[in-house]
Amino acid sequence: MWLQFFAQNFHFAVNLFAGLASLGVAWLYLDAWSNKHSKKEFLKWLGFGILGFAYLIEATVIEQTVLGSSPFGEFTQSFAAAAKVIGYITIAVGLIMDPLQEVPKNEGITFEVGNDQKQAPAQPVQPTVVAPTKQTLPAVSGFGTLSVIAAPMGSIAIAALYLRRATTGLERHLKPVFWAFALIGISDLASVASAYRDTTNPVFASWFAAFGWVWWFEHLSLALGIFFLGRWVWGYLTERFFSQLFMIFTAMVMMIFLVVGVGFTSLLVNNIQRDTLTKLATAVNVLGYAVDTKKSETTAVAEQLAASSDLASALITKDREKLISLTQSIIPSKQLSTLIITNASGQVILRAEDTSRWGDSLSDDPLIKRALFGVGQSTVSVKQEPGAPVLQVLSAAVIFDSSRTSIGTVMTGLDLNEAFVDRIKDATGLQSSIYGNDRLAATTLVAPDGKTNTLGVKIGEGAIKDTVLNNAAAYQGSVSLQSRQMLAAYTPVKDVDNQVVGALMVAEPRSSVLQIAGRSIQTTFVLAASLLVLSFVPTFFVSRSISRQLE
Amino acid sequence: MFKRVARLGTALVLLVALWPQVPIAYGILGSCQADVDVHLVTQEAQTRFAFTFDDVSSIQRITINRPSAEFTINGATGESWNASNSNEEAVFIRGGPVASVIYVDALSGTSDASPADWIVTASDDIGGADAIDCLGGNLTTEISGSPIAGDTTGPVISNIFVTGLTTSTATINWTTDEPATTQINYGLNELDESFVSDTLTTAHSVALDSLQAGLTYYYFLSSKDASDNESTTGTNTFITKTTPTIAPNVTTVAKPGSSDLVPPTVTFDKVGGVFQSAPTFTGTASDNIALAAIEYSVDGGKNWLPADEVVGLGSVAAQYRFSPINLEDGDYIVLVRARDTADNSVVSEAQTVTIDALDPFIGGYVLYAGSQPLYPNGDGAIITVVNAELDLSVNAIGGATSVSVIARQAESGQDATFSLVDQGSDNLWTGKMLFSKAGVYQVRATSRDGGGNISTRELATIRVQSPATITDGGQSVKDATVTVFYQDIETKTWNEWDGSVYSQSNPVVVGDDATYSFLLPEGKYYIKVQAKGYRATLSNIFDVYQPTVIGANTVLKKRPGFSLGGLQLRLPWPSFKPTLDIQPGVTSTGVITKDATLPPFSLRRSDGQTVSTVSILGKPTVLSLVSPWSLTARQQISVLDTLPQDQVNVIAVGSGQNLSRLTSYARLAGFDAGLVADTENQLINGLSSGLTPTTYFIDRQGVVKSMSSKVLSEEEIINNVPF
Repeated sequence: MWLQFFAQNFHFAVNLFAGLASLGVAWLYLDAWSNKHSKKEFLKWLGFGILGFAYLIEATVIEQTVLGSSPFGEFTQSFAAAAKVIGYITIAVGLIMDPLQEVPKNEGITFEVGNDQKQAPAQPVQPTVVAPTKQTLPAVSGFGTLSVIAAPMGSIAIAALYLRRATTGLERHLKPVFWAFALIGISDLASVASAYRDTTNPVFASWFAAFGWVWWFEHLSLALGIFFLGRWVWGYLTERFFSQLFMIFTAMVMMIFLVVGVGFTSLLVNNIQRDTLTKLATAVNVLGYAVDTKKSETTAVAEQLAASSDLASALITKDREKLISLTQSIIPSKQLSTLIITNASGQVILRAEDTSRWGDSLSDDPLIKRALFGVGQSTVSVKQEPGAPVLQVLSAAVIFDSSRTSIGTVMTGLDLNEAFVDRIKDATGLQSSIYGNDRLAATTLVAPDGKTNTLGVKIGEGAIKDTVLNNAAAYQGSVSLQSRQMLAAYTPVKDVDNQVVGALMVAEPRSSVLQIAGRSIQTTFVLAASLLVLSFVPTFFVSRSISRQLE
Repeated sequence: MFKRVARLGTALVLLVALWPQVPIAYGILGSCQADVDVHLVTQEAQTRFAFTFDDVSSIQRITINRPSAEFTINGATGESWNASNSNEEAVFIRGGPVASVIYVDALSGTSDASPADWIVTASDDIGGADAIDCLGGNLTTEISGSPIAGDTTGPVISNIFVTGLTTSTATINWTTDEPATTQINYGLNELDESFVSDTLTTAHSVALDSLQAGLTYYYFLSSKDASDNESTTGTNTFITKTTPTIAPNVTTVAKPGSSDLVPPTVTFDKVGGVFQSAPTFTGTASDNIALAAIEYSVDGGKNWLPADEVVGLGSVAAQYRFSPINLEDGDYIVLVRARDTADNSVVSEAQTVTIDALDPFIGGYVLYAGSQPLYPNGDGAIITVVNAELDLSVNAIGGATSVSVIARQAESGQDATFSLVDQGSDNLWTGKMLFSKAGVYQVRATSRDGGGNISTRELATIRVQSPATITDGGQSVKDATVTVFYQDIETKTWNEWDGSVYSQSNPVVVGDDATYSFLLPEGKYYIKVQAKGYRATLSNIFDVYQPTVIGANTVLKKRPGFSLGGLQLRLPWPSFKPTLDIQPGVTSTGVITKDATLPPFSLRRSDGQTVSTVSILGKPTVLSLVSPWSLTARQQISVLDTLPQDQVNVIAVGSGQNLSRLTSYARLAGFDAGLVADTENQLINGLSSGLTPTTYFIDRQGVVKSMSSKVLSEEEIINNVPF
């Protein structure tokens, strides 16, 4: 989890630097344009300006496959991608419009005066849409999809144009810019891999995954490219005191925002994870109380029925029809899975859930035995069914006649099944599970197909089983459930004899911690980037003021 | 003094004379019909003759005499019959709930013998009083022709069944079509226990003891004939019981303040037999001080009830009488316990009585591999792998006393038998199945009730696959590691699959046979195979829509390298291209298209309505076979509840379930459409699948258009309704 977190912050930092470096270049071209007001310079500073803002917006984009959906939807990602392509095109057009510097004449060799028109102008690079063959493009819409392919074309074209200027032309000083854009082009090319994350090749799938090594390659290439670009532009901006001052202030502000942003989000993730585990521990106790409540409910129903004089008289007269009429509505209304009435010998007089089965003896049942001794109690027991166990809450109460003589018992039972955990989920939003012995008896977690739940799976060997089932203690930690990494809290379930008969578990996907953090991280990033942009204004005036005073 | 003795004697005589007569527990035997299956044998042939009786419910003793002196009887057997024989005759005495077929082994002589009848007599008295001849059937057998020479065929092993199952014992029985030796190899995990007998016989029976309670035992059988031809079965299973039957015992307690340590005594009049309803049991008890209670148990001593009628409680002698109420079909182990006023007690010998009112039926079933339900593939066959343990649960109504599952391999015709055990509720019988050889198996369940009635139902076609092998193109690659990776559905990251929660290992280090397989639940996976000195091999990424056996034969290639003396140096060689092609080949719904006629039915629903073949016409119908005891069926019921019942007939049929149970469940589940009770399997017997849940899609004319045996979502159901 922490790897994803640091990777996301690395993405933020690299793009922030990229934005700053691009804006620095824009400043440089703006400075040149402010003297001549030529179109080509205008396009260059405009292009780099757009590119700088595109990187700043890109810095706020979070990896949605891991960190969940962005609070800004897919807008920021699409907008950043579109802005980047527009920036590339604008820069490229500006470079194409700017003729190469004349080559000096050599003595003894006669050259015609160079004619700009005769030089083969570089063709503007048109973004090309490469139709994917078998693979599916990522879930970015509209221009975002196009830009995934167009961006590398744009950056590589710019690299080629700068190379031409540095080699065919005489602007050797532009070679670092060529290297910068070559590396940015490689980074953009690597970003195309995100469109192929659904490949059926497991090697490529892991390479292309979010925060996979292609992702790291993409970001490291960008970081290196931005390093070259930044170093190049820094060399020029420091030629003038005002611009030097401005860039120093801006860089400092950015560093402060970066450190604060990363530090804050780091604390945030840590706190969210700790709070999640605390919340889960509380929630599993709440689930335990819900089970206790069910015990109280079944006990109340059993005692209410046992106290009924009608029921007592029907039991004495062995009037089964009356017993059926007295109990038939209780099973659905109280959601009971069993309702049994026995006589004083433990012989079943009525089994309300299956009225045709009666006459057998339950004299060996511990609850019936205790009830006949006048001790009404509740317990939790495990009922084994094909595929999975069922955890059942059972309560028993004694029936007295008018002379307070024990004449039978009422036993009520309720299954802690899917309906129970679903209600818990509806009320609290928690994913909860119930284990009967060491096997899953009920859960709100669904399989990857989105509809079935694999009941009957084991709790797993190791710490959880040892802690919860063998040592009857609570456990919190990370587990793998239903093809998901989860944070989970367990607590044991005990029967009336204090023996562990199962466990309760509540869980949250580990990614949800990142997703909760992700929203805050992106908001923090957006705020930091916005403040950074806003800080340009006071930084500009402060820098200008200082530089004027010194001049 | 003499007068006193005389008066006492007179009183005793009167008491005995006037004591209410105990009703005769067995029925009055009026007629008997029997048939023999073999009518012609060659000279010097050892033959097993099967005698089938039309009704054995009232028969306590059968005597079979040979048809001529040219026959020598040398064996006799029958399920739950106590059999004995001399050269001339075989005698069978009822030992509990018996089968209607008994077997006599006989050796024919060296001369031909004209057709003559076996002489079969039956009596409703164990001692053979008032025996009657069993006539009306074909009991003729003759000897004709010379003996057949040059036997090169092994004995055919059949009729494998398990009797005498307790917590620690089991008796394995089987028959061979010719005299052969007896051998069984058995055990829990390893078949490390064995029993061998070189005696040639056609009726084999091996009593196993010192078994552990509640565990699955695996066994295979071998028999070798006189010509040394040997036949061996596949792996069979049985499960020992978990709850012991209380043995007759005496408990001395002596309440505080009492010095009485003398327990009471109890007699329990023999009643044993087959009844349509519970018989009346009687007996007496006595104690040196006073009797406090007389109780009975019908479940082997787990739960007790006071006897219905006891005369003499509080005195030193008492007579009791009881008749258990509302006993369903089945076998019951009945015990009586007498307790004195000092709490000393005594438990009687157990009696087994059989209640047999209904014929046995096999209803719905579910099949699991661990926690994963198995469903048929697109071609209707359930796929598993060699030596994978499967859990089968079958609903058997009609008072089954034993349920066996027989899996016949289509290629060899060989049977494997798996004995199921009663779960005590919902008429559910469960057991383990394991296939030691690859192939296609036709699996059928056989249910026997206490009256000797047998019901058989085809359950499924199971295709057992060989596990995937790992070779280098020729030799097996031992110690290769196979790892399954799954995709986390939240983060889309790839992680090692946790097989332990599914009772499987991952990664697997293959053994000497270099084979592997996995049973994977729903999800997205790939497999990686690695071995020292070889290039790692990857599968493609594949989706599993329902629990599926996964594995692919793997050929590993050596990593490039060179030898330096005896030292092999191999270069690291990454793998990029998946070479294992895994296509689970199961659609997400598993719907099979078919055109079939619905069998005629008329059944009651939990809301009191009658649902019939006619009542469903005019609207398309979704008919699901479900059972409250099946987890997957309950999941299906909750989906059915969401269907638009104004447009579609939604019928959920509980096979082998009584209406009161279904009504209660429908109310509890809030299932508005109600559950239909197919108590006697009227509908399920006419449908092709008993797997629960199975959903049939029926058009307005009542024609089954398609079916699917798995839990379907609402969308999947709607998409398949033939509107």
